[in-house]
Amino acid sequence: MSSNMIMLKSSDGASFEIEEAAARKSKIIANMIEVECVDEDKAIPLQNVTGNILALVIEYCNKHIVDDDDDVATEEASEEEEEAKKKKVDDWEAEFMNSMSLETMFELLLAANYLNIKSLIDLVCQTIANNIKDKTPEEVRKIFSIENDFTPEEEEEIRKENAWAFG
Amino acid sequence: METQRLVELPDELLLKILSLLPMYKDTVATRLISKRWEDPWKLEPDVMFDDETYESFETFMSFVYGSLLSNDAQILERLHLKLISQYNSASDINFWVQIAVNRFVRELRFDLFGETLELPSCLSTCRTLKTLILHELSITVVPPWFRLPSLKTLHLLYVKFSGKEYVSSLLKVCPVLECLVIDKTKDDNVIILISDIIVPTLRSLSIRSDRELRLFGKTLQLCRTLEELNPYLLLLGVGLVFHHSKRCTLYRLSSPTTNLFQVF
Repeated sequence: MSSNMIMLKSSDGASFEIEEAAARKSKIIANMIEVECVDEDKAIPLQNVTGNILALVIEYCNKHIVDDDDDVATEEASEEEEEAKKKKVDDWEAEFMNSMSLETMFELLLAANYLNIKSLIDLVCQTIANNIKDKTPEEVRKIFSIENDFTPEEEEEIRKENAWAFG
Repeated sequence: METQRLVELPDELLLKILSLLPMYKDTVATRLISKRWEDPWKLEPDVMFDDETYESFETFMSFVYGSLLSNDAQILERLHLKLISQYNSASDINFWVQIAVNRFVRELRFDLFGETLELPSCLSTCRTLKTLILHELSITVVPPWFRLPSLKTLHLLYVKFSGKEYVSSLLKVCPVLECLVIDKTKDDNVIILISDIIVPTLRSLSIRSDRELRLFGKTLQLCRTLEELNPYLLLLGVGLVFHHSKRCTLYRLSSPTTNLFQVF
């Protein structure tokens, strides 16, 4: 494993040290390293990510880079071991997401999107979807700050059309 | 009621979340959230059609009609056609791919369970298609006029070629191809020869096969030859599979700036 460390700086000025291998989970940062615009002495400024969110992103990256390395080391692993390992990651991810408010999830999603960390985007989207799947349209509107642009008549019309689906 | 404003998500992320909701109740429910989402599949950037499930058929047809009816052709990130039999006709596939091309599709994937794919003619003029994934299908002909002008990534996964010249024919019609992934061919009569894999623009190449000796000769020699034939390679991986045990060969490319490996 590469032991190169790089510095990331959040929008509110907090600095974080992270292993290059973990930082490479972000395609944006990987790209910056690729084209050699990362200076070892200088922190990479991340304008759109606050310190508390960046800490979560780094926690996620650190966890997953370790897992990736395991994959290489235990190439001969049996299927049961693979499954056990996958379950361990799933459990960790569930625990990780479980401790978060919806608002934090949104901010984490924006940060993952900005940093282009695909697996984290997928994880957060899935968690949010699980969270809202039993909510009413009114509640979902509120969660996403979507304006209700239906007239009551239009809304009633759609409800009638699809009455069978709301049973 | 005063709503507490949470962070506002861009549409693409909102759509991604809504698309993860279980079918079909929620799809109807999402129509109620806002007029913006009245027809979520019209906006859906990632469409899959699996002809084995009815729900998939419903949403796919919404995509087809939505795309035809909508005036502003929105970008389609990905179309994935997984067809067992019922809808696997060349004219249908051509029609659907044409819709995707009209919506500036960036990635296409076909799973045809061994059936023949007639390469859709409309792809020859498609400048947005960057990734083509062919999985479990047969290619019986590469027409002389066929082109993939902007394709960067090509995956040939269990693809059966009816003539060995078609492998190199297919590679020759991709003038800017950078990434090629080959997982063993299905047809025992057709062997992909390493001399067929000549792509001047290729940066990344992965090959996986279970027929090492017939295909490649000695692995190290194979890697050297591939590197000579494709001078711009940055990444090369060769994986061999013997009776379910996996073995990878990593090869350090000799070019001094490159030391990346692909592991299967």
